[in-house]
Amino acid sequence: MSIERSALPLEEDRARPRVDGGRLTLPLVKKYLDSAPPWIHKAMAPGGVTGVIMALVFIVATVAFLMLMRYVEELPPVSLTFLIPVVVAAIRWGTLSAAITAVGGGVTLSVFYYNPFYITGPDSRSRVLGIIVFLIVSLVLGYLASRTRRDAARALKRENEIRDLYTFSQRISAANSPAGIFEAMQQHLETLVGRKVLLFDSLGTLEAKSERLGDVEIPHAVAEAVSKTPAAGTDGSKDIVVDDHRGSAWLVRPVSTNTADFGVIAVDLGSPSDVFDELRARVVALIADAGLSLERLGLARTISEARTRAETEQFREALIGSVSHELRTPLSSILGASTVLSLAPEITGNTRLKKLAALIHQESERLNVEIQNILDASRISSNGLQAKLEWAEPADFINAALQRSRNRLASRAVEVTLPEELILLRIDSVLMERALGQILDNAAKYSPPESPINVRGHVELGEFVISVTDHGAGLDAEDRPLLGQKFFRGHRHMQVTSGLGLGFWIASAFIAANDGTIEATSEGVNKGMTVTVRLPLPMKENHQGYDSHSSVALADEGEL
Amino acid sequence: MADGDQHVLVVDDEAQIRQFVRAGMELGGYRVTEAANGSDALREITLHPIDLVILDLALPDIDGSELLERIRGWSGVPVIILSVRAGETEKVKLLELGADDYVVKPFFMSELLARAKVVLRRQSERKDGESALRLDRLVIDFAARTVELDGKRLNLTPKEYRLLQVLAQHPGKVITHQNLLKSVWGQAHVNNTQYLRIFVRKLRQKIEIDPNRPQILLTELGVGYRLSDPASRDHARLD
Repeated sequence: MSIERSALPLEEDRARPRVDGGRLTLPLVKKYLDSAPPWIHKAMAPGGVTGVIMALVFIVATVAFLMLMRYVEELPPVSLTFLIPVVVAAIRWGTLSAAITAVGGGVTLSVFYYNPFYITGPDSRSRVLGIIVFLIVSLVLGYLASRTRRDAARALKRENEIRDLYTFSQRISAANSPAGIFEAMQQHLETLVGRKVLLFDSLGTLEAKSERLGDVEIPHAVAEAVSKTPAAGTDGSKDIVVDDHRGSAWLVRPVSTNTADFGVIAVDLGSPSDVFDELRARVVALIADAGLSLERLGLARTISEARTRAETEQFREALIGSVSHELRTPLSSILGASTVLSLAPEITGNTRLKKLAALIHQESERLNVEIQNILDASRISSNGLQAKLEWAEPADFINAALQRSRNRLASRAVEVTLPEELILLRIDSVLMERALGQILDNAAKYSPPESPINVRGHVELGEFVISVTDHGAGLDAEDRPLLGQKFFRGHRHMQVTSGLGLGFWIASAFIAANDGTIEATSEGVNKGMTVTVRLPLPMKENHQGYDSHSSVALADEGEL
Repeated sequence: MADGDQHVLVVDDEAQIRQFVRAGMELGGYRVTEAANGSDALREITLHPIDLVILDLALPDIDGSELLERIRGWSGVPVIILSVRAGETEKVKLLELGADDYVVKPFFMSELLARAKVVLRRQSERKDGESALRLDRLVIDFAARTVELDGKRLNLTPKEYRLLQVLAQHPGKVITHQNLLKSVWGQAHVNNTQYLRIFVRKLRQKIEIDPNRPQILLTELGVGYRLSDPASRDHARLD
């Protein structure tokens, strides 16, 4: 007892300011404790050394109190008195403290009160029994009291956590933009951890490399981790990075585990401590909550975007419909009427009038072609292009395209070379005819009126290749990369040739819809141009009836 | 020029279209009556002996294709459809419903006149019940089941002959893929377009000078085939 008593004032003074659960940091004790086995650490938390010392103080105080009382009155069994410090120690400092108080109380009782070492009296057995009972009762009571204390503390902590999460949820659900959620998350986490929280957007890798984000310096290890963090789907266990310079651990993880869109977050969790895992779990929960809200918001945005798109689409359809009707109806009358005029004997007999009628006719036809191009372009832009693939002969659509373009090909010689054998392709002939028509029109438009145009179709490496060669303006280096863009027209032709620059673009889209490719090559300015269209030849096994002439349907032997 | 007796009914809700079609048809020597809607058209067809109907699909009261169906319920009068809807599926549907031909707006008057001529000629020939068809160099004798090209008899297989026969029953008229497949191969093969492609090719190799540039057996892209009618050949588009 004397040793304990002498140590007491020293310990008490130092311990008092930290009585509320902190660890004692006295170097000597700390050194001793550090070498102690883990179960001692566990039992001592949260009271620690303070709990043990206080237990001893309680015993001394109780003994002193009882000795004082003894002078006043003869007391009934005083063992109950010792239960008070046991319960106080249990509630205040935990199980170990309570146990020491209980044992200390038992020892004190036996020494000072029951005197078990001098068992002589007739009631010695009951005294021993009394001490044992006291020990049991005080130990159980101490244990229960300390457990109650633990439960209460845990409940309080949980309540705090839930309140925290709830406040946060309310805050982010009030936010109606991703920016609001990010801001709420950052502020909330900073309050929670009391340290830095850094957000990197989905392109954050680049920013992280800059070693600063705003006015905050980014530790090298964190920057590295951010750039390495996979966009989504981390297993969550390898998200702690230690900044060696400051000795603090950072949590680095994607805001959402489902998508990379929301970027990466880095939270400075400070130095690892006993509450580290708990803090980490709370931070992760908050990030997950924010991530979900962001996804929800993203979903809502996607839905509203889809609605806007649908409305735009409807508007576009209505516009196309009305353009188609409102422009084409009068055009039909003009074109039709001009062709009637060209038939009338009064006009055919008058050269001047005949020319004028032909002019109205030509120009309205040109207008018609441009309206058709705009409609086609709009159909392509709105993904309204649907190829109806059927078995078809390329010769058919090539002839149809030549037929349709014959006015524009006019007097020039068009040489067509096609293979002798039957070629069958899976194509939409109508789209292919329009595509080839555009190519032929372009060839006619950009080459001298009398120069020939060659159309050649042949099989080459599993493809049917159609090439249209003219002897006209060709392509210059400037034009080449731009050809095929919507509304592109060669700068040399802007002033002299009419058109909207849609032809090649429409042809490309129509050919692509048939799984084909288009390519324009030119030797150079004024050296002509070759447009090459490649369409896949179907695999033999897909022909189904085309090659298997043995099939009953195709059996057609003999003569009539 | 057609004989002045032939009576054409022009059904279109657009007065401007009716106006120039009337002018054009009258120039072509036809007598013209106009109707601005479906019910007027039905009344005209019932009351007057109409030889040809030129029918616009977009009518204020009845849909053009429905009107066509109703006309076909009791009349075989030739019908040429005017349409801004140029879809191939639409064309096929109209031909199946019994349209004799279609012209897509905007069109040239010369083209409409040529089509009208072919359709009317076909109608009058049908009445004559000829047993042989002469198409330029090609003569098809339905009774003898023989085909001659430039006076020389051709060796056709049964399916080639059948194909030509189906087309020749309505020279100048587009016969849809489905119709041809059904007539030659049967209902089960209406979607096997590749059969048709193969046999058309074989037939072209026998009757055309250059099977890659056919002049007799013509393709209507995405719709079907037709035999060129000598009457439709002389319409060259106005240039």
